[in-house]
Amino acid sequence: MLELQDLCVAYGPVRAVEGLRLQVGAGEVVALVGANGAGKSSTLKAIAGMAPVEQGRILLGQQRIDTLPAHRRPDAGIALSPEGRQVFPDMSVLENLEMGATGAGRKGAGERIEELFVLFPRLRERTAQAAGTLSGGEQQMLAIARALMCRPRVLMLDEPTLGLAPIIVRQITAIVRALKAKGLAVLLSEQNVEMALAVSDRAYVIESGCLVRSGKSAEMAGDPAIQTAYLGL
Amino acid sequence: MELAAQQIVNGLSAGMAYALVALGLTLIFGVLHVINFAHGEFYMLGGLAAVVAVRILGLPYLLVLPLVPLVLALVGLLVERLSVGPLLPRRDGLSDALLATYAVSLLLADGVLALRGPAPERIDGLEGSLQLGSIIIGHQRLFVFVVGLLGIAALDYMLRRTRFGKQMRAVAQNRFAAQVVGIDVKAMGQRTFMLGAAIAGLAGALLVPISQFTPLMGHNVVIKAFVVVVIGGMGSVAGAVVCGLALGVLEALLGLMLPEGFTTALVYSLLLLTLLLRPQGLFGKVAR
Amino acid sequence: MTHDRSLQYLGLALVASVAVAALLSSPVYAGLLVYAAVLGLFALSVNLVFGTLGYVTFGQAAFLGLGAYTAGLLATRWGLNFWWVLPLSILPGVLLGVLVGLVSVRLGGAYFAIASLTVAEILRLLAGNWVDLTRGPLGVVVMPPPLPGQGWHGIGQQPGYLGLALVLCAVAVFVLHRLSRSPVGRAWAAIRQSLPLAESLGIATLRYRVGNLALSGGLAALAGALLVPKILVLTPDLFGPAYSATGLLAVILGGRGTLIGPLIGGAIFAVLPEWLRFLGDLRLAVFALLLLLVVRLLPGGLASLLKRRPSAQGTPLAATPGIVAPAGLADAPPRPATRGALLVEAQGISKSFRGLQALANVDVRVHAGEVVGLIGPNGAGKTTCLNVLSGFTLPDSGTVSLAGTATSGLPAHAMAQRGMVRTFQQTTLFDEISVRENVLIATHLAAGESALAAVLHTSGFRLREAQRAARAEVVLGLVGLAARAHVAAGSLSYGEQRMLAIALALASGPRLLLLDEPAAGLNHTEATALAALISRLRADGLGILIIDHNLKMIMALCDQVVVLHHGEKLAEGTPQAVRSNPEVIAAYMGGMTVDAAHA
Repeated sequence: MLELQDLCVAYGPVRAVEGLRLQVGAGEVVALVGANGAGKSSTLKAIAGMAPVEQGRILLGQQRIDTLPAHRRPDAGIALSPEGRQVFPDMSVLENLEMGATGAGRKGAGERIEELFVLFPRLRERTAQAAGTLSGGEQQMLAIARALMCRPRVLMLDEPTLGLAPIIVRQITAIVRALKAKGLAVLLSEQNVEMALAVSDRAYVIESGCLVRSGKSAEMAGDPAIQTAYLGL
Repeated sequence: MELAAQQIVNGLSAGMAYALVALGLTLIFGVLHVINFAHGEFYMLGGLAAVVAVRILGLPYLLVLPLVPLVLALVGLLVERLSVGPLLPRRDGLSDALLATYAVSLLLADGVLALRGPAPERIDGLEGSLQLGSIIIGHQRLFVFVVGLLGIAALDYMLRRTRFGKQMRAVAQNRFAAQVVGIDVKAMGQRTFMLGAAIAGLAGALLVPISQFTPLMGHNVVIKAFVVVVIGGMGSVAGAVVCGLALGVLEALLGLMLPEGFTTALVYSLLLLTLLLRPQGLFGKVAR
Repeated sequence: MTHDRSLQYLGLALVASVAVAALLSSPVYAGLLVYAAVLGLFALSVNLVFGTLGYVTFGQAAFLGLGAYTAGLLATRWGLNFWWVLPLSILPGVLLGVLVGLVSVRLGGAYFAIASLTVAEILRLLAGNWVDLTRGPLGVVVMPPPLPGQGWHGIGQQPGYLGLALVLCAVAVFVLHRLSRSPVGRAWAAIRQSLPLAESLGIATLRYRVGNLALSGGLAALAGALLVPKILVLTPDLFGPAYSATGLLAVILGGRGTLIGPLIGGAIFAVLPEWLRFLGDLRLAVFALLLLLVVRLLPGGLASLLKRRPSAQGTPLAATPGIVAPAGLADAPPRPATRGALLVEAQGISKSFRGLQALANVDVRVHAGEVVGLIGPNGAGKTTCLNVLSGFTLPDSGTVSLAGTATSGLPAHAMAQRGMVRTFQQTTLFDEISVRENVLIATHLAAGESALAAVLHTSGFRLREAQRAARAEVVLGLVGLAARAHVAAGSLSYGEQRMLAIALALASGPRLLLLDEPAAGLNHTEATALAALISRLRADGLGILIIDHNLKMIMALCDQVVVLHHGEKLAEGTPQAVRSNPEVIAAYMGGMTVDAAHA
């Protein structure tokens, strides 16, 4: 569904990602883990068109999307819930969701919102509330719902549990599982290794912009080497 | 007392012009984070377009009025492509855009001045006036106020209810997220510029029957628009409208007591005072 | 060390000025040259604000007009000799500059541009309407008395006048040159590139901004007064956009940020009106078009065509060979405190932003010769804590004390002056200039400096420059960047940039170092080098607080570890104690066990 071929992301002289190869299949949840500054966010941003790709290709289905401008990628079928939520603070929850319905997705936005309220009941209670006044967890739900508005084939979540309480983390995990059950492909980047490995089928470990490990999450979760390397424990 | 009331009524039409010009300026700032130093010239060109259409083409004023914003929208697009869009991605992009719009401002004002000469020119708008007690309200002044109000109402509706307006607000509130959800922020910037120019042009065409056209009328209005935007708060639509009208009235009342030059100097000093005490203005949020 | 030849060049320039003035026989050329010198001086003043400090100004004519009117009015109304009165015209320019500087404290970019335009307009309106003083739009005619040496030239072309204008221009260039090669000029460059970084290194940015605007105002006022014998009539248009635009255009066309650029620009705009006379009224429009083209196509101006290398390479230091300054970190003030002394203490710190509680009742302590690690999941409040400690953020409640003295409300640069320096999470450097120049800026605190000493190159100044240079070398050696000293900071690799950021913090001679994620994005080799550096600093007696996510490094390096979670202090103690604390593990793990998830 989603494939990265030798992706290099560079901001001027700073090389954030080098030669990354990665795949996400339909109905798969794939985690990208690594320390702060390792290049996880840069990878997701590059796939969304928000970071400069120096080399390599990004394929969605069979279509090359790295040549598409950022604002055409949701229509192509890939959406991002950005790091730090990035809601539109002075617009209502409903308006935030409306903003997620791009191009073709404009028709049927109303039904789509109804479907999403089933998945995110808290948002239904707060449709008229300004997004900036929501709690961190609610904003995260909103960001994910907004990304889902365009009916993407691949959903990307950039550090969805950042700064959130454990109970919210559990809710997000449940949502990811529910989306997987509907056949959505999910790529998430996380510093919270434990959560990432728990919710995903496969994982890639990235350090200083390069891939260092990959494999089935269950196997990696039980591997003490990962724990030592990334948790210092 | 009646003199004051008359001044207030007159001041409201000038204030409406300030409000409209300031509105365009604040919209452009909200979406592009650029202060368009050429904005006064959009006002001037609107007046010029009206004068040319009525005097040279012989068209009736009321027909010309809706055409002016269309013409100015095109001018706005041209200016954006010349002096804003290509410069913003640069490292010093915002400062370069300031310089470039300033250059465009001088180019337009002095170009028109050189080609046409400094002589003021009048055209006729709506003739006649009505009388309320001892206050005389010119029909044109009333027209300016009503059209302005309608324009503001239409703009407000557009911003709050239409998809385009919501996208504009989205880009102003979080440019990154707007791109992520699929909004073409570059195109949005251009359209905002065009809209700002159209509104300013309309204001110019509305005011010309009252205050005459001169090539330097943009220079005078733009600083007052800055005063309105700074005091009202950069990026605040309500602030631009409220403070614009207030400024018009204040100016008119001060004009009873002081010669015009001192009135203007005093009004400008208010801008400096605001920057000193409350840079974010009355309605604004964060000062850059 | 390259010997500074500016004094010799000044001497040459002075001699040349006098010679040209005495020998030039054509009145036309004399008039043009005078105008070029005056415009050059004015352009230098615009460049000081715009090119050096980085603030766009559309109202520099405010100072020009003020100087012209002061000299002119003093001469005509009080019957004083114009030439004696001329130097007095500098004073109102300086005062207005100070005023504008103070007002602009909270302003950046566009707001400053608007304010500058407004100030000029206000003065123009006052000059036009305060008829008792200025005769309003009619203007004031000023006839300066002839200077010695007048031949058959008119007032605007007399040799004395020409000589004076050239001499003053040369002196201005000399003063600006010397200032740029001193801590004053470096502070201005720092402010232009990154104000927060400048503050964190102890540069009192307000003082330097006000000083810059005062100097700029004085120079522009002097130019205005010098303009009077040429134009002979003072009108309110002196304050208007024509002169402001010309000054700005001269700088941009000639080359902003250089000294030669404004002079080239001034010369061009002195002659251009003559060449373009055929354009008549279109002249200003053509100037505007030119400005637009230059901004679009050649932002560096003409000077960028002449110079190909950036000013990155070795700034010659104003030091005489033979004066050797003491090297070594331990010698530079403030001396590291005795081992074990309490350097900083934060008690009961709370801070919330827009309803979000970033910190709740947090205590932190750092002692000399101790490394304290501050860890916690993202969003736990670590950077906010560091911001509060270093004076970048005011806490809602609680106190911060440095070596026993409370420091609440002190600005960041004052904290740095008291020996506490911080680095930033996002690599913040002065990336236009070389590595060595970066560190030199940071040596600001190593020894204080006065502008006068910098211009005069007193022996005290030269000694201190040598000390600063030596310190820069020491620090570069410590972080391993000595070989990269002349590379532009923006071209360094990511790891090198992080090390340079630490070098900047060290160059100011701190007792206490606050490092915000220094290891972020470093590879294994780089992280090891960093850890070695921190150990070395600890051995030298510094106190260090580190925020980082590289827990392996933190646990190996730190004496004490503080864990924050959701703004509260979760745990504190030795690395061993903290890493086995079940609450800490739960916080990082997100409250889930692996087995349950994959059941």
